[in-house]
Amino acid sequence: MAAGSLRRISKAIAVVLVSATTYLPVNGAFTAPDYGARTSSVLHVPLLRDGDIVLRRGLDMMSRLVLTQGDAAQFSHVGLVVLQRNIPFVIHAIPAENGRTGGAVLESFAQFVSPSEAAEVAIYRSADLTEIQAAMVRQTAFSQLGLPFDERFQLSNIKKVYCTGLVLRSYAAAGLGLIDARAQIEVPLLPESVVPPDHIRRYPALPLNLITSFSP
Amino acid sequence: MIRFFPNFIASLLTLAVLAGCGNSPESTVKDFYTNIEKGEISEAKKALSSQLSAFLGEQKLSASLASETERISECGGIKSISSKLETKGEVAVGMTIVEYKGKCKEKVEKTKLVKENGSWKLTANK
Repeated sequence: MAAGSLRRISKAIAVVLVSATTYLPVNGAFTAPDYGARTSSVLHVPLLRDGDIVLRRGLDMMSRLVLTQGDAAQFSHVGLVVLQRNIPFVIHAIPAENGRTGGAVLESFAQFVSPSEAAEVAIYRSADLTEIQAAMVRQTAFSQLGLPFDERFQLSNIKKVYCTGLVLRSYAAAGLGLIDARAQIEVPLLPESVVPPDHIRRYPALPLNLITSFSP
Repeated sequence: MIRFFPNFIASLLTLAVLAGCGNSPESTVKDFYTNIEKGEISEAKKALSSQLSAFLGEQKLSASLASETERISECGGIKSISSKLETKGEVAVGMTIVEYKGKCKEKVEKTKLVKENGSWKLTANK
């Protein structure tokens, strides 16, 4: 009973600290606190940079189910880190739901990885990304803000966008192909091959380094 | 005769239960499209493999299926659904043709199903 209360309190404190630290200036590495009761290790969240790729697993039932399956997708959503006054934000594409505006949106990093949105988070970085390319990735990500969400997941439809498409297009604009051919799958009803978010890390066409992963 | 009658009833009940449980790959495909047409998104999602749901996430999947309900409506509804599937063990692969009542062109799709917990589920092709 007492242990359960302690766990709940420590988790609540961890959540507050995670949210707070994500707003710290990112021009210096900082040590993040314990990310909750499930891990006791102290995680070191390094500098976030423009163009970093943030993957998350949602809280829905199917997402939890994935944990029990070895070959199943670990992440079901992806976005791109962009810095504004050294504060990390994420540009990502989501469908409209429960009064929330859909399409390509700019959201604080803290909100993107908050416990109300994510069960697992992983941040990847392209080792090959130059500063100029990062700026191009950033610019292209911003240029997609406001595009409606593409329910048909078509990379060829530039008037709409879905989560993986936003990331792939942004990197393509910098001359970088993020994924290899194995990343594409055919899904019933959808007119084009689709790239699931998880396949960005599974089938990368260029070296991607895992910066950190955690459970909010 | 008195002993035969309860056994007969029990056999019938067993058959009925088994018939209800044992879906075929073709019936899963048909149920999936029919539920999409009716806008029964939650029911339609039950025909999808957990792998497919995990690939795209529940929210995005629901949005996608809901948009397909609109698309089918614009096509005047579904006229027929026919699948030609070859089953090997716990995998069924083939084609599905969906014809519409309106002027939309028929849709020909590659179809793959896998057996999950005893039920056939639509999944992604690679």
